Amino acid sequence: MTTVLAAEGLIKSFDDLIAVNGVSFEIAEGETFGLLGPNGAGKTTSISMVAGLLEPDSGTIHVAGTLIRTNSTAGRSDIGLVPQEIAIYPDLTAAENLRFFGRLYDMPDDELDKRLREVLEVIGLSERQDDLVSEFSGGMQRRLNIGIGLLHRPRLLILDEPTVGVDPQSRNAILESVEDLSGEGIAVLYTTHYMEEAERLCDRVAIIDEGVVKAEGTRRELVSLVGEKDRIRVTVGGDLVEVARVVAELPAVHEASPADSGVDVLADDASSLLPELLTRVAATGANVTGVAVSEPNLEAVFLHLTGKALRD
Amino acid sequence: MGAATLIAGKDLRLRVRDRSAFIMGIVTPLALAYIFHLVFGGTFTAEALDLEVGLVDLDNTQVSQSLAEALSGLESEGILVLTEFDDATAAQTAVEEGETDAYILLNPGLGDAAIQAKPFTIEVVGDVDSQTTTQVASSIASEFGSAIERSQLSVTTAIALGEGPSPEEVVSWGEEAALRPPPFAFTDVSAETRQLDGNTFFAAGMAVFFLFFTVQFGVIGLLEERQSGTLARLLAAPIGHSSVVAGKAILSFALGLISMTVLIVATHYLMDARWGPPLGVALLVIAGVLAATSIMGVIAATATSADGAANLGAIIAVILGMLGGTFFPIGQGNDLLARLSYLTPHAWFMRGLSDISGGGEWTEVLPAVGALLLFTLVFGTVAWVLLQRKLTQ
Amino acid sequence: MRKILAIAGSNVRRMLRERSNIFFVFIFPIALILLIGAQFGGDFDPGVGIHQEDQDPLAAAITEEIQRDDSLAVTIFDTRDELIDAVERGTVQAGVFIPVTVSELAEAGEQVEVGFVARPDGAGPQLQSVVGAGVARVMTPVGAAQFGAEKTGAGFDEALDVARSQTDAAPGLDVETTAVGEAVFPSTLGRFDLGAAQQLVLFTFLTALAGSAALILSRRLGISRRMLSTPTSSGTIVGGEATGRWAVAMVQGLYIVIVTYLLFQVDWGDPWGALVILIAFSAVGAGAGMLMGATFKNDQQAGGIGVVLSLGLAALGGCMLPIELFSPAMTRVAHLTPHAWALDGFAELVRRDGTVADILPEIGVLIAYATVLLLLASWRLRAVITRP
Repeated sequence: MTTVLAAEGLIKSFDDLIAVNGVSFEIAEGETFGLLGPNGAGKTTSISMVAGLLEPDSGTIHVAGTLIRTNSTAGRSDIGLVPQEIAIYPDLTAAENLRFFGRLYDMPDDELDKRLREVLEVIGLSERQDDLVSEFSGGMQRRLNIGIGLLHRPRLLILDEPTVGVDPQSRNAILESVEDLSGEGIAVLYTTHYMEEAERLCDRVAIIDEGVVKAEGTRRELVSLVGEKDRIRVTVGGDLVEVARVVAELPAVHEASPADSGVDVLADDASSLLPELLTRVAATGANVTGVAVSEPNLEAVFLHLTGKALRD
Repeated sequence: MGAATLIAGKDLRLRVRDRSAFIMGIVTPLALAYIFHLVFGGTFTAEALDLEVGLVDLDNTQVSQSLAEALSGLESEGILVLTEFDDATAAQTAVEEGETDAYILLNPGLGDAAIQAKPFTIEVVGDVDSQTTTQVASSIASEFGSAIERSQLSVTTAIALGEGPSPEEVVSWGEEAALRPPPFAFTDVSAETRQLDGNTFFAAGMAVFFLFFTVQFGVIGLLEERQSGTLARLLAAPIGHSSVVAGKAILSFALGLISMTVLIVATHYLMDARWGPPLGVALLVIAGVLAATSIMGVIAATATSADGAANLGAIIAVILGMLGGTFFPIGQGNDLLARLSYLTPHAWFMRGLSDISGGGEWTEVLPAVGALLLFTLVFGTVAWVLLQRKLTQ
Repeated sequence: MRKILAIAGSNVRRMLRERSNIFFVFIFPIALILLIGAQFGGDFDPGVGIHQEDQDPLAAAITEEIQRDDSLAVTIFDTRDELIDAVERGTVQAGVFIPVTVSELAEAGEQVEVGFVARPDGAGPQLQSVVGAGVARVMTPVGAAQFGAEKTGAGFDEALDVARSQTDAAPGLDVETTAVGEAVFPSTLGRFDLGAAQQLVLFTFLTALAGSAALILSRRLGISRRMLSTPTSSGTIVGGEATGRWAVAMVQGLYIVIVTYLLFQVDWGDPWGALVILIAFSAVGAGAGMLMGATFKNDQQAGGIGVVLSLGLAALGGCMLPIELFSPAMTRVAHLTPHAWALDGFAELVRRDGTVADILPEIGVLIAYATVLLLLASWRLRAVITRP
């Protein structure tokens, strides 16, 4: 897998405040990387440096092998930025907005026309392309906001909190389109303070707080780092004590205890354990009516690492 | 350059849809210039008004008639309109009813007093609100009086020198002295008119005053883009930072140029404004728009928000406009205010226009254009540096 | 009533919190009154420039004599070109050039040619006669001396001394000027008096119209609708907005009256009369501002149109050029504006020592304006905030 973004040792301070203090991470082609942290953790400063908007005090950023500097346009075409604000012109139509930014990226007219249609299709605004953006709903504006970032086929797409203040339906549409992107081989840098989004979308996550990456890895790596286990609730009828005893004999199970109407199981990896676990339970003659798996969430990891809750 | 014009083109489209720039840049100055033209149109030419002067000659001697002759000479030169009245009551009534502005009363005994060198008083009666005419009538009477005085003094001086005229000769010497050419005369020094007529003054004043508000729509766009987040998009694109600043400057320049051009053409046809030779006007307008863009660029660079820049810009534009004499002429002669006025681009614009609107060659705008370009150089450089720096903050 | 005051109070606070408003409401009007007073107030004397080409004693005497004339504002210019330039640009109305060796020319019995320049479109001939009277006062003894010297064979200098000593014996003719009629602007009118009333009327109206932007913003941000969602009637909201605008205009008006009185000793006439005019005119401004705020959707556009309306009406209403100098037709047009009525009221108070009773007609017209505008504005505003 090719590395698209390599950020190394980024440091940036404003006056007395050290906003980012030695942040490094890499993102490979087709990978979605999440920067997870509360407001003010240094997420926006980090991605501003990655996008070439802000010069780091020290450290380097390479996108597709090109060094990114604020005073140079080299490598910019490989980056697509979706700012946190709805950064579009309300008095232009959707198509005019896309066309303007496409031209800033030096897209030839015929290619721009073709790509414009594709993007409008993807963000579901083909029908409304000639309407003024000021007449759009908030969700439609958000979708266009992302569409502009995709237009010039960047190799790295930076999404800064793209779902803030978005209705659940549009939010889902946005998340789905981000999921599709990795299939197209685009590297995605995604910042959020929504745990569920990071868990759903990101192949790897960096937890950032007070300008420092506290931990980085796949969700599973992060979770095991702090020793958190998957929790499986098996809803069964019959002898709950017997079921718990049988389950506890499995090597991957740490603990099994009877609860209200079933058995609670703590294990390392629920998904690989589940088939065997259900077979064992069935063998006791108990009647399984439901299984619920809750993997340990990043919220707990975050709390563990930083000692504070993720949401303000 | 491509990116800069692209950004300017996009902004121009936004401004056209928004219509604010159109109202500020064209409708407002045109409406105000037209209203001022209606209100003040008459007063600007009032300086050359006909002076209505009456004469009541109750003396009716050779001496008194010579004043009547002098007055009719002035009338034939078009300086005043003379009306002769039979008595003071008729003249008084005419003044009170506003038919004549002032009258000169020559009472009986004037001729004798002149010859015998006795004190005598000419009365000038004027309407209290026609001070100029009263003053002129009084000056004419004084001038006449001083001719009499010169004649009297000539004879008296000769007598005092010891070899004066015999008593019989006194009158003929007096006549001789009176007929001599006066010891001084006025000669005309030629001057052109380098002052704008009323219509052109208000058209030009309003155009250049609102120019500063119009060009603001360009450079302030930078702050608006920052607030809306689109600036991040522009900066992330593969274009130089200078293209973004240049795009805004180009828009400012274009808006200013469009507004000035429309106003010049409109006021020329609607209000008979005389702007002067097109080449000179074009140079002046270009230099003026550049200077305005530069100054408003510095303001945009020092403000923290678009609203803040608009408010500060309005204050600066109003102060400069007032001091630069766009609403009323500033300063008399070479006093402090008149000198201060030249610290504003407005004053230079008005001066340059004054130099050519009265029929001067287009080259006469060059000093004013030079001054405006100096403003552009100084403020433009500061704005260019500060605005680029602002982008990366 | 408490709610109306709360809405009005928040309006006044919002206005005062903006720094640029402080400038336009409090600093700028005073600066302008000062500037206009310095520029036009007091004397309207035409400016005459003199350039004396050498330090000849007779030349100096002529310069002094012209400077002594109270009806002229004389400026001395060091170079000929500067003076011609000043005349061409209209910074002085006329220029006088006193040539070199005036004394020598006089002694030789030659005529002294005094250069005179004025713009062809200006008051040149009139000024020439005023300047000529001054020059004559110096040159008359010179002419007499020339005559005497020639007739008697005496030396010129001696003859000039004699001529100067004999001026009492040559009374010439005196000129006595009297004025008839009642002066439109009495000489007791201070240099800031006229401008202060004009600027007061101009700025209170300007500020009231500028207040429409805040109302548009309130509507756009949904504050008006939020207020409506509280147990507050649309009538109360309209009343509060109107009171707020009226209060802002009153604050500014009172400020201008007090500051100009203290700084420039501006005479405002009967204080109760001035207060009544201010109350009525502020209500007119508040009504106009509300009507604009209820009509326009875009605050920038409203701002531009507000400037046109307030400066345009001010010009038409006599805030820039006194109505007394308007043509009869324009005077009638002027009285379509509330400004003209307010200024007539102030003129009655200041120039004719009127009291409240004397300005009842003007007050009546202003109240009628205010009523109509406020009713229209309330109707419009109620419509736009209650309808989605």
